Amino acid sequence: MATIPGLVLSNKQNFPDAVALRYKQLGIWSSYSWEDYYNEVASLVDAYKNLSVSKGTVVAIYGNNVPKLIFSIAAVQTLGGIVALIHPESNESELTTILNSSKAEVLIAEDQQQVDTFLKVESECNINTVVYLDGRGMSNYENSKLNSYDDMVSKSENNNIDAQMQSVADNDIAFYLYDEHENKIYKVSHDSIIRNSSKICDLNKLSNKDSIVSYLPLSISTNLLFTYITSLVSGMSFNLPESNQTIEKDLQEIGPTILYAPSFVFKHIISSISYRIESASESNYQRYMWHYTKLMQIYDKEVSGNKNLFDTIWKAWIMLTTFAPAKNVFGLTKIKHAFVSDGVLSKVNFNFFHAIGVEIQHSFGQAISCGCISVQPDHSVSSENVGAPMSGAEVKISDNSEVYFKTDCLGEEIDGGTNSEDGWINSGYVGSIDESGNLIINGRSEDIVTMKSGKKYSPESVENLISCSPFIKSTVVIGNNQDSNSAIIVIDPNSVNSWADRKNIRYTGYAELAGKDEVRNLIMDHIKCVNETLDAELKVKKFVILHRTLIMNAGEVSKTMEVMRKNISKNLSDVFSAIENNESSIKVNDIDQLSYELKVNDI
Amino acid sequence: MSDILKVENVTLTFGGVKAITDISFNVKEGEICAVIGPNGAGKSSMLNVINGVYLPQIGTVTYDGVERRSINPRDAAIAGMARTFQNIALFQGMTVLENIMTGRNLFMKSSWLEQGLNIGRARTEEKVNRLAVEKVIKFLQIESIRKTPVSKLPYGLQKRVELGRALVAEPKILLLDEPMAGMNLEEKADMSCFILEINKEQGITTVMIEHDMGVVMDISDHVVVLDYGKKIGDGTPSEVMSNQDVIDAYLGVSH
Repeated sequence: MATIPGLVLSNKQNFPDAVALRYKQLGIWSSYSWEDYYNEVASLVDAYKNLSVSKGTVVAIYGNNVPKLIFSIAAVQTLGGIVALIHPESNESELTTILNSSKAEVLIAEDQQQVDTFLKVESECNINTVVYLDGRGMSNYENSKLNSYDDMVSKSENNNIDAQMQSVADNDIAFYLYDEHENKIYKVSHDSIIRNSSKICDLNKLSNKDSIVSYLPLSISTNLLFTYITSLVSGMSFNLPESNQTIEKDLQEIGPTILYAPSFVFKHIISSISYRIESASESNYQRYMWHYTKLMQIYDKEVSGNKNLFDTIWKAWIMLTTFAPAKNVFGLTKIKHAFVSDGVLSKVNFNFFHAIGVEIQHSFGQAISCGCISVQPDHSVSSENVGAPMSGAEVKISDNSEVYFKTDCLGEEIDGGTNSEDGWINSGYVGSIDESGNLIINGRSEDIVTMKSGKKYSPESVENLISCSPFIKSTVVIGNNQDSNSAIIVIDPNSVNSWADRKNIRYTGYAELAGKDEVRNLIMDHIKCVNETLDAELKVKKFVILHRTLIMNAGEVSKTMEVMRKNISKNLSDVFSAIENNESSIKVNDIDQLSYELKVNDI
Repeated sequence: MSDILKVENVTLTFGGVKAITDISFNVKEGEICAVIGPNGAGKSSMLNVINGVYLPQIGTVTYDGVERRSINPRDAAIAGMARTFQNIALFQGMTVLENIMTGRNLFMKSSWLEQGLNIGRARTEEKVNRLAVEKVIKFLQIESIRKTPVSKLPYGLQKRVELGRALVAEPKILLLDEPMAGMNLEEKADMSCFILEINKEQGITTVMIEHDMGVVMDISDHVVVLDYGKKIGDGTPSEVMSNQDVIDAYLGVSH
């Protein structure tokens, strides 16, 4: 059907002057048209050819979304190479795994952070050339493998590469995608990932008039599919924020029509609104709270079909005075589709976004399924499911509730084999299918907890309920082999900070704030509310507020901020055992070599 | 390497109070020179003499081969001296970008009328200067607060903005007055990295006053110790560490 270099070429022919890539450099928005995009790729093709990248060479790209790395993807593939994408925050062990199992020969690194990580594991990998984009801080490095990107490009020529782009075959391998939950690499062909993306474009009528912001690095396979590939397939503009710290401002300036992000980003928007409102003047605070309640009442009526003319007028007024400006601050004004990549938003958050006119659509997929199996249709009002399987995909639930799927856009394990039973592949998740055929995901199969009473359930379902508070960043529920559930709570520093300021609570840092009695009561009240909606057995009876946030580099949260239970239970084994042994306080010697006293609170 | 700055027999008095008594030291091109000493030792006064804020009664300062007893602060800036202050001296109501932009003042040749109406030379100058400012903003990693008014920023970041304003003046020598005062450990580490990078990668000579001995010993090439307006030590960090007068001054001995 098509290849990635082929799409660059056809977009250049079809809409040469349309904006392909927009990025902020030194505080000013600049853009590349499809014509410029093609030219950049052309000069890189020559540069990579000089580094002897050819058919089958594996090139690892290690960094954030910056134009030079984006162009490199198409350039390497034009030469027949395979791109292995690596997350910029990947640690040494993850980097070694990816480089070794993909047999990468060339590494393109963004800056000193990535180069340093590589140099630590250099002897274990077979990389023969490293190209770095930003040489800051590396002027005294003397490793002969290191090449500067700018030097490399200045020597290259800008040839016509049409023929080379067309010579790439549909079934050639395009990417090696890493799945951090399974610690495995999958190979994905041009054809399957592009066909999967076309399905999304058709389903949602995406065109070259749309624009999308890429929040996360492309190494996250779902993100690669929804942002990079979709922008190539539909010809829409692909926007890159300046840095992770400026995303909010950048979104506001771009005003994209498509938003694609994991659930933590949507939750972050809600908690940002909440902490701004907490620090607003009393009259604004009261007005917001009143309007919020009213809006949600009207939304409930809307869903049940009882909305009258008076409600419509009320809603228009509320939107105009309160929520339209709030939407604008986060760049949500023009959003047509807002895709959530992993799991589902809690009902409260889902309904709130729908009420203000941001149509949230859950999706489900992993590296092996080229990023997507199912996606919710537009105007779906159910916060529980992740939509029906897309055309060409099928889903079934096994006897022990595991989700199996079949799809015509399939990746393969890097050594060739695929773990399938009659073509059905175990997704590693448990779930169910509702009466209208939509898939409901409950959590990862390996996380399923068995309580003393023999009850089995997915801790994620309870964690999602608890984490819907803007004051809570993440939650880890512990219940394996226990009489009742306990929770480790990580507070959200921003919103709890504003809340504490409002309440005149004094503190010096995160650890002290997390240990305050007032904060404990705030969290306790929230958990009590959540408990009312839970079955008697699942109620959370004890909780601990952690003295720090979970650390991505230590593998405690995934790149999309999902909790990684295995590593957390290893790093916080003291806390786990104290809870299991019913102790009332815990002395923790943490990875920063300091010790903290945490309290176990009973509800 | 040659000496970029020579301070010779400088004495500064305010009425009957002797702030600095007969101090001489040299700063080599491309080094980080730390001036240390207890409170009231005359460190800030020394810096003020170097860039011409104070006029010493006796002695000369030779900068870049030119010997003089005093220099007008503006001329010092033109000659390539930039500095930061002990108490933050930023325009509190202006944004980070605007504050750093003021450091480009020397490079603006257009008249106030052109600037006010945004016509003629002012337009092209604005672009060139904005680019220079943005490069420094990127260097100091403060992109996310570019449009934030300085008054809303925490102290550590304000210090960074001040450093930015000094840097955009494209100085040959940077005078930093307690760049790390009041910072926490993490902020100090960041600031040390910036100072080292400015020095090693951009080759800007740095004279800094600092109280944190850990930082001084870690990053400076040359340390000058003052006490009660007199120089009591001068040399590499390790030489100064083993100097008995310095130890006495820091640990306290009756004078």
